[in-house]
Amino acid sequence: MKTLFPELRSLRPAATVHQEIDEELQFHFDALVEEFESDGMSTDEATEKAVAHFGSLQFYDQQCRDIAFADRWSVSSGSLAVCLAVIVGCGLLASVLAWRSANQESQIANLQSRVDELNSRLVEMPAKHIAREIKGTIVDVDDKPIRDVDVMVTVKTWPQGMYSQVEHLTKTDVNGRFVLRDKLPEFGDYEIHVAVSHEGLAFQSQYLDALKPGEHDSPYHFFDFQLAPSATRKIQLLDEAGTPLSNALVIPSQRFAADGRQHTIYMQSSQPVRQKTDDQGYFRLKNFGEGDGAEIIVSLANGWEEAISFEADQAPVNIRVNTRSHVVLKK
Amino acid sequence: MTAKKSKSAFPQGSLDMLILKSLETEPRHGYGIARHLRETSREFIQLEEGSLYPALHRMEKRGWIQSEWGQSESNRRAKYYQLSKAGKKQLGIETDAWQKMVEAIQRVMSPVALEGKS
Repeated sequence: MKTLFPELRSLRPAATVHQEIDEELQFHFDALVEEFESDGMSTDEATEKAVAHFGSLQFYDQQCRDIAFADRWSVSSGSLAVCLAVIVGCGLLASVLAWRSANQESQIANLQSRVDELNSRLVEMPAKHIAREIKGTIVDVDDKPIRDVDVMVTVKTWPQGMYSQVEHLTKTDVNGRFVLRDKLPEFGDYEIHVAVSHEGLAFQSQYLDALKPGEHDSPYHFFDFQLAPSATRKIQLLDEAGTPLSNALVIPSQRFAADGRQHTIYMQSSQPVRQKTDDQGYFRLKNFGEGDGAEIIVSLANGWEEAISFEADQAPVNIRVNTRSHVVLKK
Repeated sequence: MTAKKSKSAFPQGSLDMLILKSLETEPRHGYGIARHLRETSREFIQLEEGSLYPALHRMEKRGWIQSEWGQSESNRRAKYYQLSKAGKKQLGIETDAWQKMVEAIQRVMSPVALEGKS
């Protein structure tokens, strides 16, 4: 049926169209990797050559999507719009015929302008979707995609009035892309927080709040990040007597960037960035930019836990704590 | 000295024709089309292979080709394209225009060689 009436294809759900484009391009890319591997290359070499051969998956993916949706709305609003257009068109056509019989040419012109106006309004009607995917791209300061970036996605929902927070971890592919499917609710408000981190680069986060299913301009939420180089700082953790605190858990949770923006990593999803102090109580504050302020959460084996923060350009050389929660930052 | 291979080593605007020609004999998926172009041109055509897909999707919208999901040689699901009637007609039009273009260029480049033919 769809072969006989190719236009029916354009009435398939947007998520299906997107998934098929992804699958089609990924098949080609994987076939290239296999071809080069069979020529004797390692997987890394073959992947690199496949990228050079294929070009940007993201770019061509987006081009295909643009073509797919160039002349339609989503199924729901599209169908509605078509029905409206037919109903309005039939009504107006009947009116036009009636006016014609009465020889009232000027009124026909008025009707035509109303048809044009309605058509223009329909064309402007934005498509609305239930978002199914959380996706994005991560590049460096030279706009080159970064692979294997840790992506920490937190989805907040309020089912039956109860707060729920679910964390998901993933990594970017060779094209710096990440995608999570079917992690969003079909009913009820939700919020999305995405934090990304990679060795040698300053971590970033983005937040989308007050989201509602079925009210989005696309079937996915897209996050793009451009990560700048980080500057590693070595900081010593001491107890109240000045003794180094070894094996303490240190979790960077906030980055106060020099540009004034604040980036957050939720404690529960922070596995990729958490670390422990060494025998001398030292830890490395990685994933922060030069001069950034920070908040870190320090946990000791005895259950003591404290959030410690310092302003931009105030990085301490050591942090002295005691189990009664007193914290002294020494510059 | 060998000819330098370039990713733009074929004339602008001829991609549609090359894709239609690749599908003339059998249905192929995008990777199959790319590989066919590489092999039949003896590696001279080195297009950025992702660029096939916007072209394929555009041509499908125009009704020149039709697609169907099938099983690939590696047992993975793959999208196969085949020529439609409109596509065969379009291939004829583009082939004709291409031959006229080649002849015209040939006349400019080697006027003597073609003298006897005209």
